[in-house]
Amino acid sequence: MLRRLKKVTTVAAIIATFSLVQTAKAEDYICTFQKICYDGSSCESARPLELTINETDENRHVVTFRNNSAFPVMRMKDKMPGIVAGTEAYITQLRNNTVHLITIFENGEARFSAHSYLNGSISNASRGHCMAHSPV
Amino acid sequence: MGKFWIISATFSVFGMANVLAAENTDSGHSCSFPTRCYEESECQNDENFSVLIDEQDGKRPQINLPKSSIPAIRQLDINNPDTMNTISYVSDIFLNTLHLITIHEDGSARMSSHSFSDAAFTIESVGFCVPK
Repeated sequence: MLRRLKKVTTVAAIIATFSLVQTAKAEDYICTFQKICYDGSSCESARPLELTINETDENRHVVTFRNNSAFPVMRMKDKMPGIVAGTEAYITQLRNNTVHLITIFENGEARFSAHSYLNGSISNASRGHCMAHSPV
Repeated sequence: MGKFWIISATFSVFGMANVLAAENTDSGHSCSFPTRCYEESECQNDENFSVLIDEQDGKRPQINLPKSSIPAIRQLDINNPDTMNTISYVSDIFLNTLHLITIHEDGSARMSSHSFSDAAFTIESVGFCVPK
C-alpha cells in the first residue's frame, strides 16, 4: 500500500512538473507598433506594424510579421533589472544586411528597431505595445 | 590586421547555423555617432559621442560606452557572402537597457538603444565605425 502511494505521488509530481513547464512556455506576444521614424529624421503614422512572437515546440522563438514572413529570433532577458524587472528582447539573425530588434518592457511598452542597407545605411524605429497571450 | 579566422558554429539559440567570428589579436571597432535622436523629437548633434567595440581572443565582444562597458554578441551576415562585412553587435540587457550596433562594409553604422526610465524610450544614432 505504502509503495503504491509512493508511486502515485511520484507520478503526480511528474505531471505537476510537466504542467509548470507548459505554463512557463506559454508566453507569446502580439505586438503593434503605430509610429515609424526613419533614420532618426521623419516620423509617420503609417499602417501599424504588427507582429507576433511565438515559442516553438523546440523552445525556440519566431517572430512573424503581418505578411507572414517569419524569422527565428534569439530571446534575451535582463541580466540586472533596473527600474523595472522582466525586460526582454528578441533579435533576428543578421541576414541580407538586415537585423531587427524588439524590446518588451514589463508594462507592455515595446520598441522596435531595424537596421539595413540599401543605397546606404538605413534604420527605423517604432514605438508600440506587446500583449502576452497563451498559444492556442 | 592580425591573423583572422572564422569559426563556424551552430548558433543554438537561433536553432540554425550562424557564423561567429573571432580574432587572435585584440581588435574591434572605433565608432562615432554624431547624430542622436531621442524618440520622436528632433535629433541632436554630439560630435563627441564615441563607442569602442573591443574583441579579444576567447572573450565576448565588449561595447564600451562613455560610462559603461557591456558584453555583446556579434553576428555576421549569414545569407549573402558578398556582404559578409556587415557586422552586428547586440549587448546584454542591463538595467532595462540594451544596444544594437550594425556596421556596414562602407563603415556607415547605426546604433539603437532601447531603455526604460519613466517610460520606454529609444535613442537612434547615426554614425560610422573604423576597424581598430
